[in-house]
Amino acid sequence: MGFVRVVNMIPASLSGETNQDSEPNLAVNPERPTDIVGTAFTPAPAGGALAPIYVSTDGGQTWTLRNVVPGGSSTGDITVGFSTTGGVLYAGILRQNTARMQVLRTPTFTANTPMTVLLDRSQEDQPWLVAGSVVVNGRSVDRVYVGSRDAQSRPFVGAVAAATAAAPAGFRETPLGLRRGPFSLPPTRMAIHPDGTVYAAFMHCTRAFGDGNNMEFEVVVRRDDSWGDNVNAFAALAEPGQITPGVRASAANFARFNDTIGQERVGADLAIAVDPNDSSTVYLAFCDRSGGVSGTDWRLSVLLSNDRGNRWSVVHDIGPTAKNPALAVSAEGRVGLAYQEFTGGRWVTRLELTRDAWATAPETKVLHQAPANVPARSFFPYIGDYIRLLAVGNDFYGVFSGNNTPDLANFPNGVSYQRSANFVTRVLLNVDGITPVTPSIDPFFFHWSRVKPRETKQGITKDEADTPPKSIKSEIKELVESKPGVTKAEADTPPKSVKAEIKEVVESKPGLTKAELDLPRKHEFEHGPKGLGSGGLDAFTSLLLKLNQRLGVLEEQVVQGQAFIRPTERPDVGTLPDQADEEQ
Amino acid sequence: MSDDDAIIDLLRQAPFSFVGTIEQLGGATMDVPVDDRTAVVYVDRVLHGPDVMRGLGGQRITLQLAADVDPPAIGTTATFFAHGLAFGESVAVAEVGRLPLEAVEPRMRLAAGAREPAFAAFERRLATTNLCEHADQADAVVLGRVVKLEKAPATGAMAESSISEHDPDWWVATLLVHHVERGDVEPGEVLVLYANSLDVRWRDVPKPKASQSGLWLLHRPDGELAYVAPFELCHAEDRQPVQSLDAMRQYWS
Repeated sequence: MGFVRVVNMIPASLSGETNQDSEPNLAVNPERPTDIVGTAFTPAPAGGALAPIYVSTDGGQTWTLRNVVPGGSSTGDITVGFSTTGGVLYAGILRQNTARMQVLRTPTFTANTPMTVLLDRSQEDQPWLVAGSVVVNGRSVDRVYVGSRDAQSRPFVGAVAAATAAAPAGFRETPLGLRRGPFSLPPTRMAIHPDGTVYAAFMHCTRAFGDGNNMEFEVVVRRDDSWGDNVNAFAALAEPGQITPGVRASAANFARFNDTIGQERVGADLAIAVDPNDSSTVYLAFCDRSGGVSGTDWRLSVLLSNDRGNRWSVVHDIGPTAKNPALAVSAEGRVGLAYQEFTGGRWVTRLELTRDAWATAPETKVLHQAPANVPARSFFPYIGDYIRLLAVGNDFYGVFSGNNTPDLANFPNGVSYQRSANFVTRVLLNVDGITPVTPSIDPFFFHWSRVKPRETKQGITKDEADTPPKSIKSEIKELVESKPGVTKAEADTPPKSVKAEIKEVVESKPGLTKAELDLPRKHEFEHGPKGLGSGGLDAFTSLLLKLNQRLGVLEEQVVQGQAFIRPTERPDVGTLPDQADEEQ
Repeated sequence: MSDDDAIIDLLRQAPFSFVGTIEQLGGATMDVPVDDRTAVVYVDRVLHGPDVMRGLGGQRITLQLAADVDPPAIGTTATFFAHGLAFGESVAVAEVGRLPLEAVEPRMRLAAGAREPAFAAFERRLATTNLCEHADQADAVVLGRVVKLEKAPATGAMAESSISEHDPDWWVATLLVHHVERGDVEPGEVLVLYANSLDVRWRDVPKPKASQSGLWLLHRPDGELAYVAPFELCHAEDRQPVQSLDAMRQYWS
């Protein structure tokens, strides 16, 4: 069994935001997995011509937003990927201002400079970017694949051939569709293997009927064995009777496109992943409505091929209603499946891990569960048309979006928030640490590891929340032992006298902020009973110590932006000698 | 250029302004690239900005000073106009322009008297100007009421059987136009296309409701859409309250 860490990605300085930050994506630098980039439908906080990416340099524990994506203050769609070597970040986007698809690149993901445009195409949909690197003639060359649905409703794959070459950086365009039937659905997904095997999967509509949103579809897989870098690319798989290469991994499926479940639209869900140890072993996941036209379900199926995509079999099934499958295979052959299930009026995000292709029960982690009717949707997609799961070494990294109510019941495996939140009152707070903020949709990062991740400063798990820290326990124990007349129940409850004294202090000091008022409670708890009422030098010394602790907490909160000092209350710290000289 | 004109000019370029005091040069409050024009600045007062940045008063943030202006000395208090660079535990912004405190103090006093944010009057004026400039680009400006809503008939490329989550889902609103302020259109019924989709790409496009009245900024559609209806709503600002017409008339006069 492994450990999972879940982190709300909204930074502390944006505690007041209420955007619908849906449809997240993620890139982890394989060379240095502490370098991570996330994306979502998050607008630039101050507007402007550049959209933001989320950047972490500490393994996803903390995040900053950096405005580096051209095309407007947010994106139409965005997916990201790091090259295997060199730390080059690539992005596939639909520009907000023109809806054109662009492939972007930056050699320095932490820079504040806009990403470089490598490729620009019109009328594309849902660019999905996968990146890797390969050594050619002793030189590392990036291989970047962008799957999309092109203007002719065909799946499309492009590949960048160099990390530093000028635009278009050797991009080769390969249309994958042209099958019998009217069109392909938006997702085109890819999986690349270090030996040069590249799989591309797409959903092809064989018949649309009714209002056009009812359709029968097949899931098609194409493969290339040499990085797709040839004239007849992605033609390694074929089926008799088909006019284009590719194998149907599943056929005669039904979907009702743009149907809604739990405030979210459904209709096209697809994922593919290849085993890094064996390019013959490849997993595929998609959703369909098994109930057909009259059905209401949206089932998720996982398929496995052990022969390089020629034959497929269903190895796992989740129903009746799930979406956003995301697959990855770790270096030790563990398969990860993340998805979002609508059940009991909630969106539940799960991570399943298996080492035997679900022959036995998988290890399952519930990452998040929250009512699907909060907040109200402001646009589609509500939580996203996709999420992402990546494997780097033996670890899994992923991202999903969901209701950000700070309720530990929503995070059975714990969570860490950077934005200001009170998990006791279950209320989000603005940067002042006082003003309530309404719930919204936030992106959440998660990291699964066999070893327990290092605890974050702000991290809190449900167990930790339910259990007083050891320091408090030991203080209580010490207090109880030193005052044999005090029961544990008394030690756990601040005495009335303390509350009364605090009330008196508050009333006599109207200038105190709510944050300051809230501070003493923890330390009252630590202080134990009769602390203030016992009198004497010990009590006075103890009071001074507690006051000092309170000041320390306040200073820390000011630094973290969770509390503030009004300009008028800004302490006069005097003039530095240098400044005094200048003034003279 | 007067102080007020200078402020308006900077407000056009910068989404965020504040009175700040330079506390350190060559430093930062968060992990951003630092050079000798990277400053730690104490935000004495936020003058304008999006809601998420209005709480920065009383905090230290990072300011990347403009390369084409001399950096201010430590201890200098000035009015800085900036756009956002990075948002983490702290905030980093990039300077767009700078004015001495004296240039904005009269405006701050006036605003304080009116109990509104320092540049609220300028922001209103700018919003009106932007709206009027947008109206200038419209092919027709009319007053009217929605009398009919129906799904657009599929023609040409629209009829091609394909689907996308970004599909606009074209609908046609029939406006009963009772006043034409601008454009080649007669009073009476006018057909107007609009994207009824709630997809992220179309979320801000006005979606007319039954019996809704207002000032409508109409645009000629491109390509095959022109066969469906002569006009289209395609910008968030294309439906306005009737009162906006007064401001437009003033602007045009």
